[in-house]
Amino acid sequence: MDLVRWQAAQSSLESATKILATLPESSVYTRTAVKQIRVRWLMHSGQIPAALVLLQNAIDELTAISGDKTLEVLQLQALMVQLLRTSEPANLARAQQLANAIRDTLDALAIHPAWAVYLAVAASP
Amino acid sequence: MAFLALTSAAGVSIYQAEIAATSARRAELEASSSGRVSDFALAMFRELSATSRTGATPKTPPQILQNAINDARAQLAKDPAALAKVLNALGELQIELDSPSAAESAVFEALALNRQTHGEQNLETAKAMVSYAIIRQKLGDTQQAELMLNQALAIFAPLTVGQRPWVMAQSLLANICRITGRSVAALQHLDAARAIAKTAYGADHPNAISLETNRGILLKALDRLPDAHAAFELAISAYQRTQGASFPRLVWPMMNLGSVQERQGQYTQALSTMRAAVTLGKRVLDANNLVSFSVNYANSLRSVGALSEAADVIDSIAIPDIHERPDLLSNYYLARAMLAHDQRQLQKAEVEFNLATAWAEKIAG
Repeated sequence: MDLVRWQAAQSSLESATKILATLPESSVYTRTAVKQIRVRWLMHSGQIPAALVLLQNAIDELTAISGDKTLEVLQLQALMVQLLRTSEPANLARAQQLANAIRDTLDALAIHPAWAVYLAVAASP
Repeated sequence: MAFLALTSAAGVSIYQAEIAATSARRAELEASSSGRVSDFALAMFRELSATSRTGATPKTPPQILQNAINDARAQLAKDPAALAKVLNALGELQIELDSPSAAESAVFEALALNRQTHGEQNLETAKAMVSYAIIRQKLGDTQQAELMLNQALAIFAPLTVGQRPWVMAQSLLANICRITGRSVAALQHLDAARAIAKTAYGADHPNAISLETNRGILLKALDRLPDAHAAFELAISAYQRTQGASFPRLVWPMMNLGSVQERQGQYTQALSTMRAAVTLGKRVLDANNLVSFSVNYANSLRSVGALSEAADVIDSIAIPDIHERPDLLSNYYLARAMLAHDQRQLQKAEVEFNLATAWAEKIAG
């Protein structure tokens, strides 16, 4: 994604955040979708520690509602893999471990979502 | 004393005669009103028969409806109460058979005539407010719709004959609260409707069971997945028990149950439930009603990676059928955007996302 697209993404994120602020009863699924975009923005702008905290919070919140064997949670975990790989070398092993666990779960569920491609890229050396 | 008794008796007689005359007049108006509506139904059947219709090609239901409305306006011009009743009834049909914007003129006129004839605090006026609110809501004007429904509720509340329309108005308000993000208020409106529906309709009436489906939808929006699951199962079993396995309204709780199963990670059951819902929907629903189910099913197929199946389902949706439904259009373009994204067609996805946003903004106003 080039700079212009990131600016558009940031603008969309700000709009979505403003709308969400007016909808305090919105579902965890809606809030998670916006958090996911914010995590990607933080990741893009190099704010990795803040992105890690926000993403872990989103994973915990969604897991509490749906359990941990759902596509939404697994997709967030896949984003965590990407984030860990871009953070510091010490986190690479954890990223690999998490990527393997996600792939095992998807295999067990016999589901191959489109985003699993990114998981493979993230897990590759 | 005798004179008093006589005049009193005469007074009572005159009063009774007036009541009888009013009743007769009312009956005449009722017959006139229902006659107009049945004329429309007869015209529909005549148009279906090549030997009965007067033109070379059959008129469409929207054309027949518009003719019936024009005819009523011409012939009942001196009887505003009867005209209001006819316009409201035909306008309600027009919402379904034509479009909400086509129906707006007749229903708004009915509301104005009712206000003029009966005043504001009247059952007929309140019913016309509900019809007009339905149109405003379908056209994306939720604010005006909510205002109308609250006014109607206040009129229905003290009337024993207003129980069913009261339930309907509460249910419509619940829906408006839902689509404007106020799920807690929506659940309150819906629970109020459910409590009265049991006496107004009876627990096994399809309208009472529909409220269980709506309750499930709100519980899902509030992330109460096990409760939502139970509500949809309850609605499905109640419909199947009372109406049979092909009852059209079954599609709603079935599709929503599939959606909850999906959120609970039960993907095989979810797709199976949704497929069954769409299959039933294709048999018993019109194209417009099928749209949201097809969009949901396509989204679920996409999320598990069945992209070509999802694309087939999306491509089967006819846009002209949903041209006046911002809610459906928003979900439709969102589904297209997500699919294009998963197919790595990012430019196409951006265009579709923008369309989805534009239609979503029309819903929120």
